[in-house]
Order: sequence, then structure tokens, then C-alpha cells
Amino acid sequence: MVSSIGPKRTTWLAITAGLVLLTLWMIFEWVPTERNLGVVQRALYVHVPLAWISMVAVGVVAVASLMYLFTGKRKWDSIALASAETGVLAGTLMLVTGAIWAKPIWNVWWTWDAKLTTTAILWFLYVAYLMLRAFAPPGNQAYRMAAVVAVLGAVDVPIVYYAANLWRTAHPELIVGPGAESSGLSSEMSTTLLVSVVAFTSLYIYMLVDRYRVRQSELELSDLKREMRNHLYAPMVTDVPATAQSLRDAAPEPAGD
Amino acid sequence: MKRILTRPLTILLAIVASVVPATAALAATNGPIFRAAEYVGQENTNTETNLDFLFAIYIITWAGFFTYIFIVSRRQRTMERDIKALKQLLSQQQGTGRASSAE
Repeated sequence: MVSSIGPKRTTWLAITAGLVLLTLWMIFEWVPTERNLGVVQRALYVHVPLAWISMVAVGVVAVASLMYLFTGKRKWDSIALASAETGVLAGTLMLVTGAIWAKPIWNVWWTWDAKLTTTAILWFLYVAYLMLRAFAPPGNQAYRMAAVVAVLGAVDVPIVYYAANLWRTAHPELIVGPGAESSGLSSEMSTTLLVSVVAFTSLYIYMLVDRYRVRQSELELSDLKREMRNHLYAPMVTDVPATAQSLRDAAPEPAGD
Repeated sequence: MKRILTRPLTILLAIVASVVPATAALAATNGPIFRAAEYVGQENTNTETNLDFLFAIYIITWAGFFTYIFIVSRRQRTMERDIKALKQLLSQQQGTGRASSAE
């Protein structure tokens, strides 16, 4: 399986590379600078796609975890783990880029605004998911516990999405998706944002598949190690009944009375 | 074949993604990226200050992604090497086991 996805993976990487280059050209060459925020507004074309892929990743983790809980198949757990790791990376970068963007605009790196706080909670939940998987004794029980954490954590996603509309926050209201009323972006800005979202989604899929392959290799390696152990200790295990039998033979007969 | 193509493409992507924002930042005041800004007649843009922040955002994002991709691909290579070695060892062990049982 691993070798058969090789050429597809290379093609996908080439497509992603092309999309990233197109996005960078659009951001730095084509799209106009926003009137009020200035050049730093170009952070939007990275910050929003990062938020998008972190939410998609959380959705994938939740669905894969549910499937794992219902079917018990290891592939779903592997998909959940791969997506969680990629999602935490995207979430970390989203929080960091958001903080850097906030400094020149809000004059603070961080504020306990509803959107930021709920996002931070979501981030902590999925870091906890990864820590649980890393430190719990390996086995189906640990994976099931992690799956439950993942499904419960996904409840925070709609709260994060609608936070800026539900509460008075410093964070701008929604500009994309079903909850967005008016983006306030020009057509060039919207197009650039759309291309950037597509490029980042492509990058997310590439990383997800890559991490999934590593997980499959980890499982294969673990199976091979178990097989090796069984093979090495098999002679000793088969000796045990023989030894027990010889002990019984050597033992004196119990008294008849 | 896949490795021959994948690694240069990843490196190329890393270089381009790092160099483009850096070049854009260096070409700040009169560079082509601000041509569009002239058309919209911006008034409230602190170009000098904000460029550092923009530069940091792009560098951190791409550095984060490429570091992760690099770590994952290195782990995959190590894993493939270990799997190959273990499979060889296991087939050797099984061969030895069969030979000794035949004796």
C-alpha cells in the first residue's frame, strides 16, 4: 500500500507546490493592500486558511474517532491521530500568527476575547488528546479513551466558529462560511483568500497522508517486533509442558490409603 | 523514483516559500507588491512597522510546515529501514529454525 501511493503522493506534492506558488504570487503581487490595516492585512491570507485547516482537521479527527469507536478498525484510529497532529500544528500556527497580527492592530499580543479563548481551549483539548495517546499505555483502551476526548473536543468547533458573532469581541466577525454576512473584501481579496484556502487544504491532505503512512509503518514495526519476540521465545514456551511432565514423572506416587 | 522527485520538490517549495516573503519585505518601499496599494490610495498604513510583523507571520508559518514535513519524512525513512532489517532478521531466524528442526 505504501509503495503504491508513492507516485500519487509526488503528484499531489507538485500540485500543492504549484498552488502555494500561485497563492504567494497573488498575495505579494496581485492583491491590493487594504486601506485601513495596511500591508499587515496580508496576514489574512495565511491566518484564515490556517484556521480553516485546523477546523477541518478537528472535524476529521471527530469523524474518524467515531468510526473507530463503532468499528474498532485500526485505520480509523490512524486517520484520527494523523489529522490531530496536523490540526494541532495548524492550530499552533494560527494562534501564533494571530498574536503577531494582533500586536500592530490591537496593540496587544493576546486578549481574553471570546474567539481567542475558545480557540485556545480547542487547542489545549487536542494537545491533551495527543498527550493521552503518547503517555497512556498503548492498547485499544487508550485509543478508545483518546477517541472519546476527540469527539467531545469537537463540540467546541461551532462555538469557536460563531464566537465572534455571538459575543462582542475584538476579533472581526465571520468573513467566510455559512455564518458570514458580508466579508467586506474586494473581489481580488476574496479570490486570493479562496486560492489560499485551497492551497492550504491541499497541503493539509498531503501532510495527513504522510503522517498516516508513518502511523501504518509504526504499527507494522510493532507487529514485526511482536512476531520476532514470539519467534525467539517460542522454544522456551514449548519446553514448559515437557518440563512439567518430567516433574510429574519424577514425583513419587501418592499414598494409596 | 518517488524519492527522487519528492525531495527536490519539497526543497524547492521550502526555498520559494522562504525567499518570496523575504524578497517582498526587502523590496518594501518601492517594490512591486505595493503597486496595487497605490491604486487604492491607502492613508492609514504604517508600512515600516507592519512589514516586520508580516515577515514574521510568513516565515513562522512556512518554517513550521517544513519542519513538520521534514520530521515526518525522516521518521518514515527510519521506520522503513527498521522494518526491512527486522523482516530480514525474521526470515533468517525462521530459516535457522527450520534447519535445526530438520536435524
